[in-house]
Amino acid sequence: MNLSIIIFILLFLMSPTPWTLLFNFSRLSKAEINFYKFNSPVFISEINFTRGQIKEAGIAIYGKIFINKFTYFMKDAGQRYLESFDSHFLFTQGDLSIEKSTRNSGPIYWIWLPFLGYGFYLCYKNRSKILVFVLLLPILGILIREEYETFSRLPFIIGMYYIVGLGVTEFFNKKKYYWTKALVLILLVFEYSRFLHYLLLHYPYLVGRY
Amino acid sequence: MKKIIFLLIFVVALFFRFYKITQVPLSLNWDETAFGYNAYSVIQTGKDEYGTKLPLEFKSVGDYKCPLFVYFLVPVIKIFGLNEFSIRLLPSLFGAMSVVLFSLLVNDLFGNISLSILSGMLLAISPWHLQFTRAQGDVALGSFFVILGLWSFNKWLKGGRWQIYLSSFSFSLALYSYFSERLFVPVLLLAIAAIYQKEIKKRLKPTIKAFLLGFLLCLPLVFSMLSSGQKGKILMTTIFGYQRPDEYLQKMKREDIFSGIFNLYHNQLVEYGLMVIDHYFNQFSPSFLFVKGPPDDRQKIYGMGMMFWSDVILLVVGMANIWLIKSKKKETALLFSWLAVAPLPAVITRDPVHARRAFEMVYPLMVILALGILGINKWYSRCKSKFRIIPIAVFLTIFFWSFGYYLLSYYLLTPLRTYQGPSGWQYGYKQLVEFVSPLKDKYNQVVIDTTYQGPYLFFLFYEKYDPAKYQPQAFLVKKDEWSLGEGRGYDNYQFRDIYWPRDRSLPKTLFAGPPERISKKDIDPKQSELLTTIYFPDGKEAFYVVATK
Repeated sequence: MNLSIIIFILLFLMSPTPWTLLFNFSRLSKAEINFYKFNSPVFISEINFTRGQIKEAGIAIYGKIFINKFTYFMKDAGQRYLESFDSHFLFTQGDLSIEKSTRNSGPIYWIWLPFLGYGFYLCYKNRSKILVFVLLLPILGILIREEYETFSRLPFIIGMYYIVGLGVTEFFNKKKYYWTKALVLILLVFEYSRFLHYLLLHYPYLVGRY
Repeated sequence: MKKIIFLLIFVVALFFRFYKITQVPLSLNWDETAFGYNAYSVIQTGKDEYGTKLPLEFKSVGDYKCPLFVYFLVPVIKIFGLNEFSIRLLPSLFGAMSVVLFSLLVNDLFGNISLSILSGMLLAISPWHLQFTRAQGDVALGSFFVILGLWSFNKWLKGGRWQIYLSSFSFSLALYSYFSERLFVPVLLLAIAAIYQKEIKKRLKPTIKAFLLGFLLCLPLVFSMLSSGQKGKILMTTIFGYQRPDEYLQKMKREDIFSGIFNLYHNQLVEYGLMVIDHYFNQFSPSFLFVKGPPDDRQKIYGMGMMFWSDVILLVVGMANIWLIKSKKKETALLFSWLAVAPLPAVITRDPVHARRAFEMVYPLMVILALGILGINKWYSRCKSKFRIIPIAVFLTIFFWSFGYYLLSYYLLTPLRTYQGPSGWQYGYKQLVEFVSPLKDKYNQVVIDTTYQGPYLFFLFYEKYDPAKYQPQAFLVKKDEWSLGEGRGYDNYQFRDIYWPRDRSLPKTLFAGPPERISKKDIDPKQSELLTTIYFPDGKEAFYVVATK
């Protein structure tokens, strides 16, 4: 098997997401999936309220063009697509639900950020189609009602780890930068152990396991 | 032709910065009134509101404002008087001038007229730039001097002689204009020194002279930075003064089995370090840039981020087309250093994101957006498909929709949602002063509630109260060491929290406060009378003005 694939699988297995989901497996397996509703009352009432304000200002036609179901849906869809790329989601906090995140780290460790950037650069340089594929994956996140939801973004997270894997493999194949490599490993051990410490010592209190 | 285009950019920038300048944002906020009244005080007495002669820091509500904007306001207020237009004239003017100067800078840096025109045009209509150059003056002023400093430095690099001194002078003025520049400018200068070290070494003498000039100009600033007020401000707003809550630390200690684990994972270096990293990347997050913007009412534009939705496309295409400026290695390095350094002032403060403190980001981002347009244009001219017009049409639709939505939001929807309180635009004080001021002599005392903070500034400002009379009465009351202060009062005015069950027994007193402080059902007609109600723009009640008998 290709070295970068092995590294990618290893990195993903070390990441917070599978551990957290496994930790709450029994609860999550019973959880309902809430799909995005185009006609939700909140959505409609916001449109009507805003339109009312525009109408009062005497420019109702302007309101019809800019504030309608289609534009609001597109805006909402755009927001949900883009929130997959939020550093707060990816690195700092992850899912808003405590059952899918320890809230102390996102699905990707901070240490992988430079490698993610490097991986993207390599994909772009080699005109790799995987880049387009990974950029399309967050579309799945639009389908779920909850913001920053992890399950619908799992394929995207896996895709991101693939790109991190590319960056890591390429970097560790270089024959220099010994100190940087050592530093990366130390920081990785630190981040991983920090995550495990949260998962085992603090997280059970957060989800009411004690 | 070039000159006409730059003039056109200036006219567009001016139009968007001056259109309804006194009506949107809805009202002056307390920072703006503080700048205005202190400038008025300097005109009348040569002193600030506390009677300090020509200070280098204006204490104001205890937030120690930078001095330059106040001094720049002096001639403006002298000519146009103490009013909304005077306060907002300079930021708009300097904002428009920044646009043209930035356009010229891009032209000088990259030698690409299309890139420079596009960058200028995009900046002229940028929601982020407009947000802070139509109001909240100090940031616009600081940013103008940064651009002027960079432009003149670049002119000097290309063979100029005196421009290095202008550059040094401009960067120094930027430090006197806005707090964020005090971190941004020195770090940017270090980056510039690293990028252009060869050129600087070749002309070391003028560089040292310019550095000394800048140092001398900034020397008074160093002393003012060491004042207790400035130290207090730094501790209050930055993470350096932040203390993790005791409950949090106790909880973590209890849950961690060994103290060693607690010390390893919850020490200040780790937790504050992660906070800083998080804050830094938040400034680049799509949620901040395109979707929601910052949480603060005064910075936000309802329903969008600090940039247009169409900018998502331009940013991605622009990044992919960086090779268009590849030959200009140093200039590209400068552009990215600028972008990397700009969020630093926002990073060290406690707010997770801050559009105002990271304002300098807007300039390099505009160059990347302009590269995006050039990239799209290049693709369009190369593409042979007859359907090539479709993605262009989609992009243009998104752009025009975003731009239209921005105008709708900025001029109508945002004011209806951001009018209230100190983090918003503090609407209602002007109307309150207009009602209360003519009545004040009929009462023993006039008590104005401080729930919406800073009323004394609005009363001083709109009454054009004689600073010579105010200075001996000026006294700042602070609830605790972490809060901003409130002016105690002047003449028969008192600015404090109203406690109606107690206060209603005060005879012949005029009260003005929000419904949370003066309950309508507790206004007993035998004891007191509701004179008027002042409303917010959406019809909610802002202030009750009640007189006791």
